[in-house]
Amino acid sequence: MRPEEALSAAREAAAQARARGGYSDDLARFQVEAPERPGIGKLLEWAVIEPDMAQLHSTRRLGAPITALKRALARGMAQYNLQVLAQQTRFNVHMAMEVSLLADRVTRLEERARDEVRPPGARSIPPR
Amino acid sequence: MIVHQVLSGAGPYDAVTNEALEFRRRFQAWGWGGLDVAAAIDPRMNGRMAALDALAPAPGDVLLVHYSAYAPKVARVLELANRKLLLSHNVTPAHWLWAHEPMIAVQCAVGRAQLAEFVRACDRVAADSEFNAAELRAAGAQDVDVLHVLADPDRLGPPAAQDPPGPPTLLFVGRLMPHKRQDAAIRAFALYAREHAPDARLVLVGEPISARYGERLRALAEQLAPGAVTFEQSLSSAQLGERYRCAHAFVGLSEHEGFCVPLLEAMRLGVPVVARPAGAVPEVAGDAALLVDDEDLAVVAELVHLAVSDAGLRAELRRRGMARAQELAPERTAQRLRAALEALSLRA
Repeated sequence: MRPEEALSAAREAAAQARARGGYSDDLARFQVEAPERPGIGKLLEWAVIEPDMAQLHSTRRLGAPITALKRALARGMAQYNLQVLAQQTRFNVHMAMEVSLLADRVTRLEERARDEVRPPGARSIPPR
Repeated sequence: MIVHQVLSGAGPYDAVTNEALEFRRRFQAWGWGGLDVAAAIDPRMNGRMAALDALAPAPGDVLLVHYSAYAPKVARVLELANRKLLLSHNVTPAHWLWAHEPMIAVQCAVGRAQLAEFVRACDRVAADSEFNAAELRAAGAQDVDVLHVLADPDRLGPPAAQDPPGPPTLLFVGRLMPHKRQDAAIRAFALYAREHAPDARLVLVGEPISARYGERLRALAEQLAPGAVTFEQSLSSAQLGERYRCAHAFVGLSEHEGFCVPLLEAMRLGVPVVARPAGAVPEVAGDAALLVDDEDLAVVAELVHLAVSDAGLRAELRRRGMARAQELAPERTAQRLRAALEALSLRA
């Protein structure tokens, strides 16, 4: 068979196989599930940064001395690092709060929009 | 002539890094000097790449900027007065990554958005495929050189002398990422195994974009084809060459490829290819691969069956694949690269 003929042959073979009961398994539902998206509560929780010193390590083989050196440096830099963390945390918290307020506002607007298309006489939900 | 290469990131199993190292070998052979630097360096590079801060070009030096990801530090290089050649390797569209890896998706989104800025700031632009060149033109580039990926042809050793023994073995090589569609490869493989070859094997070589994504793919494989799918990573060149030589077919269902070096490697090593005609795949494959865009994975499974079992088809694909790999031989890219860099140097 020439490569140019292969695709039509494959389509035909797949159709014939299906006709005799082959390829009966529907595998489309087997997906790589995406992780659940974090909600506003999780974002607020993550906004406050608390680095874990145990995560400070060397990826090299026999890296224990390098890990010890890195941790000593981190301790030495603690005062400066805390300032940086405080700045970043302030930004994160305010950003998460803004997102949270926007989400509330969108919810209210959606409710109002639903009310406006409600049939006359139906009870409307008062704006918050 | 002095040419410095600038990369956003460098790692031992990264195609862009490997090409930059191959470029450097060519530069050395031409008697050119220069330094290779990256904004982020995997410790496993063992000193083969210098930190970006080490870049201190003299006024006449040329900079070759490899663009493959968002890297704010690399953007500072654009401020240097030196002549610059931008080589775009493509940045994955963010929509493939939002659901799985939002942090990387953000980087991809910004990386794609900043491409126009890099185009404006560089004196000459190049892409490693026509597909990537079209993206550069859309970003404002006028003339784009196409420099197909320069991969060392001897890195993986010679093709197998004959068809590999043992049960049918399918192979895909590429990072475990949503757009590479290893999930579809696993589903197509499961259908093929159930319908034609219960003892078939699927080998997926590549580093996962995240441990979490790798685990999810493994779980999918265990559900659909328990014990038949092997995941491998961090292989040496010799080991990777052996995987190609042991494969009966290369099955790439990726839906976005800026070039696809593994496709070229498979053709070079005489492995029949079944692939989606996505991105640069049709351009790289030419007439040497079985391209299938049918949604129905039963068609893919049947095509795989033909690629594995039809001796005449296998022989023709092998012949065409080797011929296509010859057309994309590194010497051609090397000549074009040299011409582009020398032209830039003369303008300095």
